[in-house]
Amino acid sequence: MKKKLGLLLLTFSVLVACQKEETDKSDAYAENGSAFVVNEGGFTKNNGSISYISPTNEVSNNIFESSNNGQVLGDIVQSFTKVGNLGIICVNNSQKVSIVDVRTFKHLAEVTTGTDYPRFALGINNNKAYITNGSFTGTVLVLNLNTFNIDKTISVGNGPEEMIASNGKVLVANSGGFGTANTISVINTSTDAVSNTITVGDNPTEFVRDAQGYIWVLCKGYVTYPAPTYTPDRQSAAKLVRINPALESVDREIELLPVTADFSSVDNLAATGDGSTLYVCVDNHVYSINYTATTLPATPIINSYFYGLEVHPYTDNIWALDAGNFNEAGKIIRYNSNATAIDTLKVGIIPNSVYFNM
Amino acid sequence: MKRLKEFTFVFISFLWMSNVVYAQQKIDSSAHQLDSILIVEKPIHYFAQTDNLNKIKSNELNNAINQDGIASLLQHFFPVQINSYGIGNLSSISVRGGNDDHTSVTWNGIYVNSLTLGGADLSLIPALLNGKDAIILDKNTSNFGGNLSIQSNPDFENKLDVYYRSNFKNFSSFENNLGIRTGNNKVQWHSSLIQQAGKLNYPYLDVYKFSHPIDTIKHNQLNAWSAINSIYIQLKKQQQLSFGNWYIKKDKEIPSIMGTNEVSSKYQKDASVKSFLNYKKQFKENILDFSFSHAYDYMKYTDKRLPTDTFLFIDSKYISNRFSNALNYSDSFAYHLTLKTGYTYNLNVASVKEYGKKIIEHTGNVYAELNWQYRFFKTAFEINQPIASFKYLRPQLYVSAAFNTGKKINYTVQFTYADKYHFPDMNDRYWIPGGNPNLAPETGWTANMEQTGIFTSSRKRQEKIWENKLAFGVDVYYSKINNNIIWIPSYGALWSPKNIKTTQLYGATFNLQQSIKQAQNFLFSYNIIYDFNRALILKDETNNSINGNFLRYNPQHALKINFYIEQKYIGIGANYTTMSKRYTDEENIEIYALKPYHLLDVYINFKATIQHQHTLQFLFKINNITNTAYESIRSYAQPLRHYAISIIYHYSKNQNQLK
Repeated sequence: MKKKLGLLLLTFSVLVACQKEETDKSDAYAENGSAFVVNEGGFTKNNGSISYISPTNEVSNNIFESSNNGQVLGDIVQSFTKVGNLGIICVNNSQKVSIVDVRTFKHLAEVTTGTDYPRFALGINNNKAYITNGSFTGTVLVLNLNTFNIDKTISVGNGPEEMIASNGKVLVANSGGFGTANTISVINTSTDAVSNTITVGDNPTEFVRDAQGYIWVLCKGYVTYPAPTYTPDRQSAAKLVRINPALESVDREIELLPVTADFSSVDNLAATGDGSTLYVCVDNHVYSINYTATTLPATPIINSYFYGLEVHPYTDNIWALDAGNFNEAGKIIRYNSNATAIDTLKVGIIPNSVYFNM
Repeated sequence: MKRLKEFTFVFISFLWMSNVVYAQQKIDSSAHQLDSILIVEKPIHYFAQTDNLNKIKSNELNNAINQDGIASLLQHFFPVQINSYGIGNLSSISVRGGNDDHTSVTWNGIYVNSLTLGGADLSLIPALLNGKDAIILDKNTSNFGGNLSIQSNPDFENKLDVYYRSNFKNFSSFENNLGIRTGNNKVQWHSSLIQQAGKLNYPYLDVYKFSHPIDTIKHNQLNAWSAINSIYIQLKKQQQLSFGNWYIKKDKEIPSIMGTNEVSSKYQKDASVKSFLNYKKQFKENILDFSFSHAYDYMKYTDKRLPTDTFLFIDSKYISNRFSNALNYSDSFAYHLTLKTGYTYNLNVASVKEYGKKIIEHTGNVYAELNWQYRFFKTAFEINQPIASFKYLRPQLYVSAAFNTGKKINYTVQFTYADKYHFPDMNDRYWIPGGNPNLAPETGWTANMEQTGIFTSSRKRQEKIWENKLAFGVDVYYSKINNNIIWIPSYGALWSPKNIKTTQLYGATFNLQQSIKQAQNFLFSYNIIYDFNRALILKDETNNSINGNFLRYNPQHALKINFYIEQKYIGIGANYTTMSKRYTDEENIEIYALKPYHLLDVYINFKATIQHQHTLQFLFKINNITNTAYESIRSYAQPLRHYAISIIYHYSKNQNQLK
C-alpha cells in the first residue's frame, strides 16, 4: 500500500511539475521590463531571429524557432512591434509579415499580400496596425488584426520607413528607399487616408518624440556614386529636423553632416524615456543632444560605430547594437547615461533594434 | 541593407561566395563534352609535379561517362566539395576546406577562375566525359586548394571520330553535344558544339515556409551553348604546334531563395572566349614548351526588384581580359638530376563599373626546380618567385621526398612541404566603396603525407583474360593560412576587406578503388572516398569568442561510394554520398547548421557495339532516388527526385583500321 501511495504521489508531483512548466511557458515572453531584440540575420541566409531579454537580463536567443518546433523566422528580419498580445514581425527579404502571440511567440499567421518590402509596423488600436512597405514606390498597408488580412493600401512617398503616432494621426518617414525622397506623409487614422505631406530633409528614416512633444526626424541626406570614380558624393546635408505635430510643420533643424562630407554617414536616432536627450550616430561616434539644442555638440559621448541604437525608457541606459563582422552573433553593449559601459549581452546575427516591453 | 551600392556588392558577393562556403551537392546542368586537345604546360606554374595520389585523373575512372557533367563527376569521384546554388546556377569547388578562390581551375592551361571575383564557376565549364580527356586534381600546388586541371590529348592515330550525346531531363531541359575529330598522323582537327536549355522548374521542399510546402522553382530558365575548336600539327623533329578556342554563352534567370514570397526578376548573362597557342619541342633529353593564351570573360547581373519596375535595381557588369605567356624548360643531367625552370607572365585587364577605372596589372612567377631520382627514391626542391605589380611576396619553397616500390605492387609514400599563397582578388582591392588596395596576400603552408598502393593482377581463365586492379590511398594534411581576407564594416557603415583571420585546415582522405575487368564483356568497379576535415578559425582579430570554431560550410565527414557493374550490353551503377552537419555562420549556431544528408543516384546503361566502330548507348538515371530534401548552400533549393535519359552515339575509326 505504501508503495502504491508513493507511486501515486510521484505521479501527482510529476503532473503538477509538468502543469507548472506549461503555465510558465504560456506567458514566457510577457514580462514587463523585458525586451525583444531584432536580429536581421545575413542576407539570403534565412537566419534572422528575435532574442528575448528578461527583466533580470537573461538572454534567450531564437525564441521564434524554439517556440515553433525549430521553424526559422526568415530572411532579413527588419522590425518587431507589439500590439496587445500580438507581435508583428516584418521579414523584409522573405517578403512577409509574421504574426505571433507575443506571450508564447507561437506563430499565428503570415501576411504575404502586398508585402514585397515590409519595413515597420505600428499598432493603431486593437483592431488594426499600419505596415510600411516598398523600396521605391511606397505604401502603408492597413492590417486587420482580427482577420490578419490587408484591408486597405495607402499610397505614400517612396521607401516609407518608421512611423510615429500623434494626435489621431500617423507620421510616415518617406526615406526614398533605394532612391531619394524628402517628405513625411501624415495619415488620418480614422479615415486611413493621407491628410498632409510635410517636406523635411532628404531621406528621412527615424522618429523620436522629445520632452515637449515635438517630433524629431533623422534625415540622412542624399548620397550619389557618380561615374567615373563611383566614390560617394553627398548631395544634401544630413540633419535632424523638428516637427511641430500640432501645426504639422518644420520648426527647427540641426545639421549633422555638411554636404561636403562625402564619405560620412548618419544613422540611428533614439531618445530617453522623458524625451530630454536625443542620441544619434554620426560615422563612428555617438552624440548626445539636449532637446533644446540647436547644434550638434562638438564632442561625441561614445567613439564607436553601432548598427543600431536604443535607449531604455525607464533606466535611460543606452543600448548599442554591435553587428560584429556580420557573420557571427551580435551583441548589445549597454552604457549608462554617462556613456560608461555597463555590460554586454550576446544576441543573434546582426541585431538592428530593440523593442522594450513596458 | 541600407545602401544600394552595398546591397549590390553584398548580392554579387553572395552569388560568388568568396571567403565562404562549401557544400556538397550534385549538379547536372552542364553535361557537355570537351574537345580533346593537346596538354599544354600550364601558363601559370605550379609546384613540381611529383607522382602522387593527390593527382586524380577522371579518364582513369571506369564509369565517368555515366555522370551528368563536370560537377557530378567531381562530386562523386573526387575528394572535393561542390557548392551549388541549384541546378543551372553558380557552382564552385572547395578542396580540403579551403575557399573557392583557393583552388585554381585551368582548361588546357588557361586560367578559368574569375579575374575579378577569384572563384571559378563550374556551371560555365563544359564537362568532358570522353575517354581521352581528363580532369586532374593536383593538391600539391602553390594554391591552398590545389589545381583542378581540365586537359585533353590529340590522337594522331585517329581518322574520324564522331560523338553525339543528347540528354533529356525533367523540368523541360535538354542538352545536345556533337563532337567531331578528324585528321591524319600530321594534323588533327577537333570541333564540338554544345547546346543546353531548360526551364529547370523543379519541385523542392521549402523548409523555410511555415507549412513546409512542396514548391516549384520559378524563374530559372537556362539557355547556353558553347563551341570548341582546336587544331594540332605534328611538325618535324618532334615539334608540335596546337591552337584551341573555346566560346561559351550562358543566359540564366536567377530564382528566388527559399522561404521568400518574392517573384524574382534577376538575370545573369555570361560569355567567355578562351584561346591558346602552344609550341612544344622534345629534344633528346630536354623539353621546351612555350604557350600564349588569352581569356575574355563577361558577366552581367541585373535585378529589377519587382517585375513591374521599369528600371534596374542592380545593373552590374564585369569584363576582364587576361593575356598570358609561359615558357617551361626541362633538362636531364648526370647523377639522376633533372632541372626544370620557366616563367609565366600575365597581363590582367578588368573593366568593372564599381572599380571606377580600368585596372591593368602584371602578375606571374619564375621558378626553378631540381629533381633527384635514384632507384626507389625521388626528391624535389623548388624555389618559386611570385610576381605581382601590386604586391611583393617572398620566394616560395617546395620540398618533397618520396619512396616508391615500383611496378606490380606499386606502393608509394611521400612527404611534402609547400609554401602557399593567394593574392587578394580584384574585388577585394578595387571595389568602390570599401576596396582595400593595401591588403596583404593570404600566406601559409601545407605539410602532408600520403601513401598509395596499387596492386594489379591478370589471370587467364577459360581462354579469357581477367584483370584485377586494387588501389588505396591515404592523404594526411595540415594547412595554416595567415592573413585570411574578410569583409567587415570598418568605417561607419562602410564595408572593407581586412587581413584579420588565421585558420587551419587539417584532415585525412582515404580512398579505395577496385576494378575487375574481362575485355569488353565484364566490368565491376567500385570507388570509396572518405574525407575527414577540420577547418577551424585559429584567431580572429575582431572577435576572440569564435576562435576554435568551424569555418562555414565545411563538413567534418564526407563519404562517397560509387559502384558500377557491366555485363557486355548492360550496366548498372549507383552513386552514394553522405555529408555531415555544416555550420553556416562563424558562431556555429546549431539551429542554423545544415543537417546531414544522404543522396543516392542509380542508373542503368544499355550499350550496343556494331562492327567495332559504332557504339550506341542508352542511359537512364534516377537522381536523388530517395527524394531527399537537402541544401548545398543555405536557402537555395535543390531538386527532389528527378530523371535523365541519355542517348549516346560514338563512331571511331583510326588510321590502322583504314589500312
